[in-house]
This record gives sequence, structure tokens and C-alpha cells, in this order.
Amino acid sequence: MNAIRHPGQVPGVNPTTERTSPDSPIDPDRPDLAGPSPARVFGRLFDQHSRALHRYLARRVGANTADDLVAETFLVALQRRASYDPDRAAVGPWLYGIATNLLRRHLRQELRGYAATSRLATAESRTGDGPEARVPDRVDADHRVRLLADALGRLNPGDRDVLLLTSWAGLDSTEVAEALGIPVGTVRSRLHRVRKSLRAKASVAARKTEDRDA
Amino acid sequence: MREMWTEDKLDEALTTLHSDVETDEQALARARAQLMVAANAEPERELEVIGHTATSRGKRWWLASAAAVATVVAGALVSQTIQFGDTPAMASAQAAELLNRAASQPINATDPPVGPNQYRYIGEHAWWVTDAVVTQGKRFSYLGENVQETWEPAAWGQEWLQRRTVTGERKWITGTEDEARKAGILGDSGPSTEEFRAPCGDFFASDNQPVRRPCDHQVDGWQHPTPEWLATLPRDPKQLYDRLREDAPRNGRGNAEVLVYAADALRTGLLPADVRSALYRALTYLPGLEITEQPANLDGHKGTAFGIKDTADERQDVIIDPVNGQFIGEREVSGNGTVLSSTSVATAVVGKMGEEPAS
Repeated sequence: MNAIRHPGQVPGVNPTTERTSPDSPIDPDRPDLAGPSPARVFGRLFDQHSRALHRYLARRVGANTADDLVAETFLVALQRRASYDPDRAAVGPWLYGIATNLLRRHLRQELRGYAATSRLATAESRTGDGPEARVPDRVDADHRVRLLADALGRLNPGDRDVLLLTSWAGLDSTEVAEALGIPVGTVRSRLHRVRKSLRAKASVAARKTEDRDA
Repeated sequence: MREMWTEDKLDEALTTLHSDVETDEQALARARAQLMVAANAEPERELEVIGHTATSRGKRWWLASAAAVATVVAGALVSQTIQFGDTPAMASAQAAELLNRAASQPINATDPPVGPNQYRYIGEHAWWVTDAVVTQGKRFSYLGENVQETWEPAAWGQEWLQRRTVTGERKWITGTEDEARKAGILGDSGPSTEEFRAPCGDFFASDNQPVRRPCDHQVDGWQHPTPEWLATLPRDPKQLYDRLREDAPRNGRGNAEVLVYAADALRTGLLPADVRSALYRALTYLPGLEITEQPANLDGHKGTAFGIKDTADERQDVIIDPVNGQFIGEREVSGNGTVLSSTSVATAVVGKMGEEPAS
């Protein structure tokens, strides 16, 4: 989990002085995107963020769609570069915000992915009592992953974004707030609520499945 | 009574779910090239980039052209079935014969040893397609040159080096360099080089969320053959074929995707001799595989192209020299014969990290 940072604060840097000084070194987390040579700035931006962004997107909608979404995210970022304010937020959350918007067009695909994962694991656990008896811990863990996949598919989209931007993209609450354009208090309360409901729902689903399988 | 998961159990499940995703470096390179084209076209902002937004390996716009020229295919046009022991082999007879010949060459029996202070150099020379259309209807597409060099130490867990260079060289498919420059889509894009260092060749571990340490839970598979993963591969050709088939995704590309997976693994340069040899033989079981060009020339190296078409008429080839058994490279070819991407691979043992073999 990342340490919580505040808007305008750069890790290890005194927020009151460095950013306003024209002599300060360029902060790679807060580049000036609106400068005269977009190719250089965006090349660097791509090299820094594309792999992590791809991984995040691929976990949500699969690698093929993620290929296209990464390309699209950076093209949209280029078009909207004037709207990025380095004094307000690091560039990472801004990119994740764009990607999250683009993801919404692939909601059905994302939900199919969670459904497939939950079924896949079900099929495995049904045939899993063959000769290659598996370690119980491993079976439990697989079982939980399946239940989680099922539960993720049932969350409302805003809750899912907060949860996965935190857990999969590694953003802290402030960064999630920047990415989604909502207050940081809302992020924290939503995250608390969704985690609690997942812990409860998933365990209820677990009991139901166990009853059915018994 | 409501029994709840602990926070840790929830986090553990979140960390595991869909954590086995892989990143296709070629798709990223394509996305980067598209971004560079668009960035260089700013501030006109009249450029839209097309090409791979629908399906990354699907139909491309020039394939839709009714004027597509028929592909000239040398060698067998109809796949034949021949017998190897009790099992029917499904590649064409000619393809199977040459693959078996390549498999039995000395180069695929043992690998040159890498001493304790030496490195195995794997040089990949690739041309990847980028296409763009300017809104006035003017289209451009070109193959961009990429060089990827990897230095693998004698022991897997020691530090590796990877150097990636985009040379700025282009081969034009549609349009010319001059026209593209006039249209403003090519800026000052000279060569650019990046270097990555990590043990286990696990260069991008820190891109994961949560951040992984290199070597720890390393992603493996046909695209990333680690020693542990290689140990799980059967050396029996038929069993290896079954494994390859099982692992290749069913994505609508049919048997061509099976060959893509084989090509991915061969291209890494990390397959030991016994696996290479078994894999060549395994490909003799691949239905529809045939000789598509002979001799085929990739970067000046001559060999035989073994290929198979997918449902969108796009062909995957691997190019092997059947005389000495050397894997030369691989390529994708469109229905009208345009090469969409190609990679040639060369390996050598060198004395220092960062040192290129004498050619």
C-alpha cells in the first residue's frame, strides 16, 4: 500500500518551495504536458506508465482489449494535454482516470470475464477430487478467487473502480479521487463500504456454494 | 451468525485474481509508435490513428481492398497427411520432412556452453507495422525498425541486460517518407535506446501492482520461458505438440495461433537445444502447416518458411534453415503478400554484458 500523499505534495520534496521555483529539476511524476515538444514528453510518459497501465487494464478486460485501450488512453491524453495541471496531481492518476473512462465502453466484456473466471474455477473444483488431490489451502484460495470474481461482477461500477484502482493499480485514496474526479472522503468511505460488503457477501456465497455442493 | 473473510483473505484473493495476464511487447511498441505519429502531428490535431483499434491481429484496412493481389505461394498448396508411427502427422509432407531434417542437425543437439563470466547474446531484429490516416483521406503505413538485444548471464539469477533501440528507419508500405514529413506526421524521431537490467531477465517486475521483486512469482510461459517452466515441457514431439495446442488461446485465429506460440518461444532465443529439436518435430503435427516460401530471405539469412493462414487470411511463418537447423526468425504476412511484421534472431556467446558479437 502506498503512503497517503496530499495533492501538490511530492514524496521527499517540500511542497511549498520546489514546484514553484523555475530552477527546480523537472519532476517526472508531474511533467509539463503542454510544452512545445509533445513527442518527447509523451514518449517518456508512455515508457514510464504503459506497462503498469496495460497490466491493470488486462486484468479487467483481457490482454487484447488492453492493447487497444493503452493506445487509446495515450492518444486521448495527448489530445487533452492542456487539461492536465501538474500542480494539482501526479500524471499517473490522470492517466488512470482517462483509462477508467474508456473502460466503461467494455463493461459487458469485463463482466463476462469475471463470470468466466468464477465458472472456470467452479469446473476445476468439481473435477478436482481426482487422483491429483490438491492441498486444501490451495483449494480454499482458488475457491475464494472464484467467489471474488463473482462478487466483483455484481458491484456497481463506481465501487469497482475505487476498489480496483486501489488494489490493482496501486493508487492511494488521494490518487483515486484525482483519477475519478470525486472527493477523497467519498473514496475512503466507498472503499471501506465495498471491502466490508465483499468480505461479507463472498463468505455468504461461500456457505451457499458449500450447501449446494454437499 | 455472519462469518466474514478477514481483510488479508480479501487482499489475497484480489492479488491473485487475473494476475496471470501478459503484456505483448509488440502491441506496446505499436501503441507507442502510433502515439509518436500523433504527437508529431500536433498541433494540427487532424490525425486519427487507426489500424489496431478493433482487433490487434484482425483484419487491417488494406486487406479490405478488393484489389488485393493473390499471394504467391511456393511449395505445397494442399496439406497432405503422412504417417509417423501410429500417429497421423498433419503438416504437409514436404514441411514435415524439412522440419525433421532441421531437428536432427547438430546445432539442435547441444548448445554452446556459456562460461561463468560469459553471456549469451540474443539479438532480435524486428520490423513492426504502424499505420495512420490523416483526416484528408491520406493514408500512411510503414514498418519501423526495432532492435532488441539481451545478455543472459551463465546463471539465471544473475543480472541480465536488455537494450532496446528504435532506429528510426522505416520501410514504407503506403505513402513515402517525404509525403509523411510534408503532412507533418514525422517529427524529429531519430534513434532512441533504452536499457533495462534485472536478474532472471525479469525486467518489468516493478511494473506490477503490487510491485514484485524480480524473480519472485515471475510470469512464465511460451513468451517467457524460465528454466522451471522449460522443465515442465515434454520432450516427446507429440506430447509437446499437445501441450502447445493446449496453451495457445482459442482466439479465432485457429491453427495459426498455435504457430504464433511456437514462434514466440523460438524468438526469445531461450529454448535449449533439446526443446528446439522437439518443437520442430512437434510442428509436423500441426494441421495446415506448409512450406510457404523457399528460399525465404529474412535480413539476408536464407531458409525455408513454414506457414499457416488464419481465418482473416493473415499468415504466420517461421523461417528455419533446414540444412543447419538454425531458427532464423518469424513474420506475419497479409493476404496480399505484404509483410506486417518480421523478426530475425541471432544468438552468440560473448565475454561481457553489453558486448555485441563480431559479425
